[in-house]
Amino acid sequence: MPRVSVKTAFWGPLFVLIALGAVGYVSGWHHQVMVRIVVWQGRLYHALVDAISALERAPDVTAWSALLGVSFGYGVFHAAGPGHGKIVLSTYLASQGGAWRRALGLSAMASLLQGLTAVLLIAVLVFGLGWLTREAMGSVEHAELASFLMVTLVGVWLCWRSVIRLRRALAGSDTAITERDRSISSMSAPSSFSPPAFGSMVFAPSTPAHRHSPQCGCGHEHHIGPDTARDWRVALLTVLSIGVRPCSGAVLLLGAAALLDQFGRGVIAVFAMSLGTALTVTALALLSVVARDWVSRHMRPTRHRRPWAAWISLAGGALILALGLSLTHAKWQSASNEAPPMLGSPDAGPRSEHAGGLMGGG
Amino acid sequence: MKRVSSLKRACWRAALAACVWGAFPLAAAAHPHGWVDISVEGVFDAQGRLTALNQHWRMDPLYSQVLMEDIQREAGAASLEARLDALGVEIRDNLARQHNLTQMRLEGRDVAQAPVTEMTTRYRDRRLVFRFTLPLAAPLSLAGRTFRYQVFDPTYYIEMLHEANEQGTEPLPSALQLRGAPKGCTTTIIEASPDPKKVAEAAMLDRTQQGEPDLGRFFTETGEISCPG
Repeated sequence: MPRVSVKTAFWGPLFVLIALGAVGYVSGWHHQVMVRIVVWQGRLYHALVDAISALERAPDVTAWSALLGVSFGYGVFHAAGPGHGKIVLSTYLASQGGAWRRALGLSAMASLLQGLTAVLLIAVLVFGLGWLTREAMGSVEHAELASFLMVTLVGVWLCWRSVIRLRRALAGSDTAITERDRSISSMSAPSSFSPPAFGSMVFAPSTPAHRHSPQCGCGHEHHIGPDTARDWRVALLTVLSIGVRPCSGAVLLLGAAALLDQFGRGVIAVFAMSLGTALTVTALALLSVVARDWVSRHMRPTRHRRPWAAWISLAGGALILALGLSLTHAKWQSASNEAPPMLGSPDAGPRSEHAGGLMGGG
Repeated sequence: MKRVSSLKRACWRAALAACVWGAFPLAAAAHPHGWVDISVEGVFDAQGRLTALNQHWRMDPLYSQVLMEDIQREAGAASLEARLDALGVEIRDNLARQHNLTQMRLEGRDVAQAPVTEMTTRYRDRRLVFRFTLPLAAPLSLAGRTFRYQVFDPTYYIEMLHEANEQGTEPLPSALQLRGAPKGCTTTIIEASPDPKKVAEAAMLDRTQQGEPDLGRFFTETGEISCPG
């Protein structure tokens, strides 16, 4: 393979991207975008509340299409903003490997789960336990904390798994591999080469030593094997960590719907919103898969793929861990700070009193 | 006795929330999560001096419902009207600590305000309406000068804009009116035109220092009252 063309193919588009970014930065374009986003988000919120209250006054086709349209738009747009769910998901996909089909599945599941969590949250707390809608909406705080803790857990898990893989890969370069090693992880495939072959792969990747043996996992994405079950557990935890935090727009919509006695209609609108969110998140997830494939395709000739993949995987895990820790920390701090003056989140005292009062009176 | 104290507590809670819109702690992002449609009336005395701003705040439908749910849940002997009045008192007390979210200037110089008078809270067309009179510390002659005011929530959690047309593009003429003004006085409502760079700077600065950025002042409208000299 001619090296120059590989380099051009890799650095060319990168330079174009960096140049575009620099031009944008110098001309203050990012500030403009930020202000526009703040304004649009405010308008969308306004439109959402207007739409649900319009539906209460006159539930005709116009009101319905307005509500569904705004909800869908809110989903698409709100998901495009910065959020930990997208960072976690795209970091996971970019660093841990995964075909586009998995990216599609995970992001769609995470988005729909966020909508579902919101529906369950309001339904159970308001209609089941008789909380004030305001309190139920405030309980998003707790769901957020749970979500951040789970993100931290995902990070720990990924790091731990990568470290094990790295140790195996490194150990595999100077010791003979055992049958057990091979069966445990398809990602530690380089160990299936004998030491000399491994060495030759590092320095001369396109030599005939690069052959595909039945046990070889090199060069392609392999997602079947003994590792898959454990892999899916992490994937599931990743989806849960994102999905357990309800979509804030959905909570808002459902809170308004519950207050206006329109809960059923609110649920329908939330599904429109979740579809919108899924659309954006899926696009981002696919983008991160495409980017990862592109990078790994262009890096492969010059570097050995397996340790490279394991290092990337470790870096991704560390990033998710750091994100989880900092979010948890920030949440913890804000929760302890704002409780008395803001009275934002309903504390346990009045809530249980309300629930008890309702039950006693009813 | 217990009922009274629980009503009091509920009002206090609701009103605090009304003030900071803290009821929904979804404010992770710095965009408004509620709004108030405001109208203002400039009141002049017999000498043609500006004495007060009558303000009329219409809370957004969702927030109105949240407060009403709170009030109605507190079943008690008090009539709805009495409970609304109690809520209004709490809102007023909270607003007093934040200059009633109103800033007044005459030719660039701050104009002092006196404590709020004549406050009422009503529930109309599914919206909670809070109306109050904000007197100036001293009557102000506007002859040949321009008086400006801004009404905003510094945290931008609530967006406060003058009553506008259906599309929200133009403020209604009724959103700023004058009573007893000298002949020839005019009013204008100027749309906000935030400088993106300053907004970004404020967002960065505040985020590192105290959490939520104070962006409200960048997105607020300015009401102008000018009188001939």
